Amino acid sequence: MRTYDRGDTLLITDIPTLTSDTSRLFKEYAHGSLRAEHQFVEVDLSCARTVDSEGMGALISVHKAICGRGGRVRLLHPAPLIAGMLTVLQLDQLFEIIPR
Amino acid sequence: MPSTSTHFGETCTHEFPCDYGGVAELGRRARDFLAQAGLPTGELDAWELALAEAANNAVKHCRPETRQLVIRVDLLVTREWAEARVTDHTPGFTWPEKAELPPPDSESGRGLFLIQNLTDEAHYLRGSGENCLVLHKRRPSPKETPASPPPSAAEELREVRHTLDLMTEELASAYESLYAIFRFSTELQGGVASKELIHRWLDQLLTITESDWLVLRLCDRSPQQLRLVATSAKEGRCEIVAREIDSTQENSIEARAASRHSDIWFDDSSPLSSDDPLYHLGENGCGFARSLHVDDTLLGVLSVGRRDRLRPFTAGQVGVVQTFGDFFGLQVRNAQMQEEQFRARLNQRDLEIAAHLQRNLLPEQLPSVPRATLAGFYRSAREIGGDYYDALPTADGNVVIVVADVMGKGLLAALFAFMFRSLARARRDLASQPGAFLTWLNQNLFQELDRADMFITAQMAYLDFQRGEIRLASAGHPPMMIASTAGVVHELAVGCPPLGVLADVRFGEERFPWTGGCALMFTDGLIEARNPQGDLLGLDAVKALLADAARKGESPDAIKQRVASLLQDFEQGAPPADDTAFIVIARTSST
Repeated sequence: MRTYDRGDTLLITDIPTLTSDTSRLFKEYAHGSLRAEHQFVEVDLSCARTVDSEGMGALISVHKAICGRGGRVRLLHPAPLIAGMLTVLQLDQLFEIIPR
Repeated sequence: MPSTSTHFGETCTHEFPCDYGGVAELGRRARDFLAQAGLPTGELDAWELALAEAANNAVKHCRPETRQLVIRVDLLVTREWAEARVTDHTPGFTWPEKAELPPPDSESGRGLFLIQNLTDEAHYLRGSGENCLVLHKRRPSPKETPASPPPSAAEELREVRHTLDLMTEELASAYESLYAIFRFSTELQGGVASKELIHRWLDQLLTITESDWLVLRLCDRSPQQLRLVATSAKEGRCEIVAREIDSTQENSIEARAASRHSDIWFDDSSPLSSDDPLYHLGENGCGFARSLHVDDTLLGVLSVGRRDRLRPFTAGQVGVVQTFGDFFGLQVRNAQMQEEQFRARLNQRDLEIAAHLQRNLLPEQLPSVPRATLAGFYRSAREIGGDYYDALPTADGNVVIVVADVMGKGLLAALFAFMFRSLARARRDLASQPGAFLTWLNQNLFQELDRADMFITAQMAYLDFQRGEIRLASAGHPPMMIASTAGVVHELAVGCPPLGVLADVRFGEERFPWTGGCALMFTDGLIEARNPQGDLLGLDAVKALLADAARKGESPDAIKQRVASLLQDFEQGAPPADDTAFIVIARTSST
């Protein structure tokens, strides 16, 4: 997992899975990397094979943190199944999803 | 992960420790196996996610004392479908028919929703020691399965045995359920389950499920009270302290199952409380209470248990109890509906008989009396009542007029009115002594009236034309009215209790002079008639009418018509609440 600080945007990449065993680490990593000037968090899911409900919980946790300061989370290039599940779970209301 | 090819399809089993690392490993292993079985990438992603959700729950909700047990996942793939069975050691939960989504900003609570969306079918078989989540999904299109590496003979044998064990248990429980339901249905033969039949069913269920005891309660008398109907135990019947429990009080597992419409389990992790009515049966055991309901109507609760908590029910045995419970719930509902229909038919028959009695109760025509003319009126309310009037001429040329009102409605009231009439007609020799007459009637009717918790108000007036007097006796009845030709009305009352209230009461009588004019005897339905505003007609309006009619010398028939019109006008179409009977008497000559 890597982070890139791009002014008002925090980009998180290299996420192989976002599941029960990795979501806690992701959450700590994301919250720890957030700085006051960040308005957006972009999570690059292009190489994430699985995002389960625990992983979605972690994404929602980051959303709540950035939302409090008027910001937004963008999910970049999720696999079709993950994008579909985000829609089915109505989480496309919370996240901006940038398709592949 | 070992796998094998048999004529049942591709199978594999994966066991992993109860932690999230094991869940990740399961995902990889299952993905590899399913890929070898030829599932496309999209299906692999879906299965991996569904299994991750199922396994997450198995880890998340595991109790500390069972955390050392492995979680087992069996996968089976055929050309048409794939199936996974995840066996956990959690306390289990009620599987929702359709999982609901939590609020969008909630960080948890989406697992079951995802599983239901990712699979075609999902069933949760709940046992006391272990539970099994069965996930089933059709394959998108039949494809040739790539050949898997040849397994060793020992591995192949082990897998085949395991597959056979799984299939045998499922088939056995399905067979037991189907056979039991078939046998129970045959025993019913389209009728209603009798108490003996219910006991026999419970005994058979006890054997099939290898239970130690079963307790059945039904809400057959009130929607909230669970009444003990039957028990079954290895040693015969079991003693239950509480015969009835309130389903709204959640102080027992039976009441909780009833109020929540779900299965409530007890075992070492959630033992029965010491005040639970099943405590003495399940103190060191395990089992569950299942609510029996059809739609949203609670019908009862079936509880099943074993005395040894180290011998929990298998998922198959739980399934048999659940299937039987559902079957039994339907039988109870059918029985209730049949009983309701039977009661409705009985009530209808009751009403027909009562109406017949009522029609034959009143004289078709009042008798001719030498020195008086009579007119009678009767109007029934919607329900059949027990109002009655009669005129019995005596050998000395006089007449005794009788008016009575049996408390209550329906067949019983009509029957008592009929008894009253028969007895009154049998003792005309007492006609000139109405007090003695009522005393005798009370002696003869008291026992039956008292047993039925009913009473009769009655009035007897012996009209002695020779003496120009009325001898009146009354049993809790409204007063008689007499009106002189001058239009002066008197209320004649004699205070005594109704018939059937006191066993040994002597009814007195009083004498009133009556040399001309008219008289009215009536039941309370006349003066207690109500208009749509709820006002009572009362005595005064009737008295005024009688005074006017007496002054004008109107005939009893004319007076009857006027009283009937008064009643009708006052009620303004409001349905009468009570029967009304009255009789008008006019003297035709003085002594």
